[in-house]
Amino acid sequence: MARFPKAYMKLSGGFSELPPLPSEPDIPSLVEQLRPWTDVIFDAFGPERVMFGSDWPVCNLGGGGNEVTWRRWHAVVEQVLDRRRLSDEQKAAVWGQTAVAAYGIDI
Amino acid sequence: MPPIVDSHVHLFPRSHLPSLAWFSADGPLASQHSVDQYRAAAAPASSPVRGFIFLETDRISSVQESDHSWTHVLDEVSFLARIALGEPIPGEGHRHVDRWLCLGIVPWAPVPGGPAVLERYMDLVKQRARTDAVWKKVRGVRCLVQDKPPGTMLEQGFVDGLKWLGAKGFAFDLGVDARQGGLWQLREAVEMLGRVYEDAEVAFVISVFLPLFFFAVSLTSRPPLQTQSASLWLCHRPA
Repeated sequence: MARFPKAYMKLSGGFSELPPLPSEPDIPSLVEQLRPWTDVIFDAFGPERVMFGSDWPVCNLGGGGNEVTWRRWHAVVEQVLDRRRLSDEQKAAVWGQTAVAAYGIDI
Repeated sequence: MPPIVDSHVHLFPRSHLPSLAWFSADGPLASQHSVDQYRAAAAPASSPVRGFIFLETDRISSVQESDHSWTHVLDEVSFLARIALGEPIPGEGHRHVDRWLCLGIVPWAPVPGGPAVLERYMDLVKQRARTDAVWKKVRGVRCLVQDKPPGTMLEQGFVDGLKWLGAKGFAFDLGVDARQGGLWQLREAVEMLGRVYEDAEVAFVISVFLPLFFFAVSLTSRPPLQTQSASLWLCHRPA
């Protein structure tokens, strides 16, 4: 799919796909569990075609409640981007600029 | 810190719960989910959330306009228009000042119906958007196919519908379910993309639902074969 230039990948709300999490999950271990998939996605699409999304409130199904789960996913994505050693510009793409480009929105 | 655009958020007021195709009274999401609640969930991030893209929430609907089958999906558009205009109905959980949070709206659309049906439908969406400013925020559509029969996204109406969307400048949110031996969806999606891109340009925003069992496997084991196969479909590049 990555060969199509206007195909973008959404990195959204991975926890709805996981078994319910314990109350204090280990973020680095979650990042490591996701790594085979995030590696595939970033290798195939590049950060300029990957965008952050929460899938709120579906992300709440992973356990932890409304006060916790969005921030937990944000923390996981933050570490994924650090582990991939993305530049500031590439991180900005994932956090918002890719969505701006893909959807043509104004921010 | 760069501004955050949350590219995938669902919202629904209490009065709309019965219109949701997946609603069950004892389900975990069986209550209003509002902008107020979203703001509570998304704060504080290490950098502020600039806003969100709203994604349609799988309302009861059908492809053809008959028996008010578009009522619920259009009511959803009206709800988002109220958010984007800052004109809340009391109790729906958003304020006038929240209107700037709504950066984009991705409603449902009857893509399998093809261009003629889509044109009629998007006219109605534009009416429900009420103003040009809100209509400009309608940036794409979504139509879930992962629970439809194999071949749905390869039907001519669907492909023609996607090309029409591209010509009009709308993106398409594609959900692909790669779970439980469902790699056929990834294959179909790749084939569908190839057919659309033969003579059209459409921005596709892809969400892949990942194999649940993968995450239950020990960290030290190799990814299961299905994961590797899915990887190939995501990575595939021409020679």
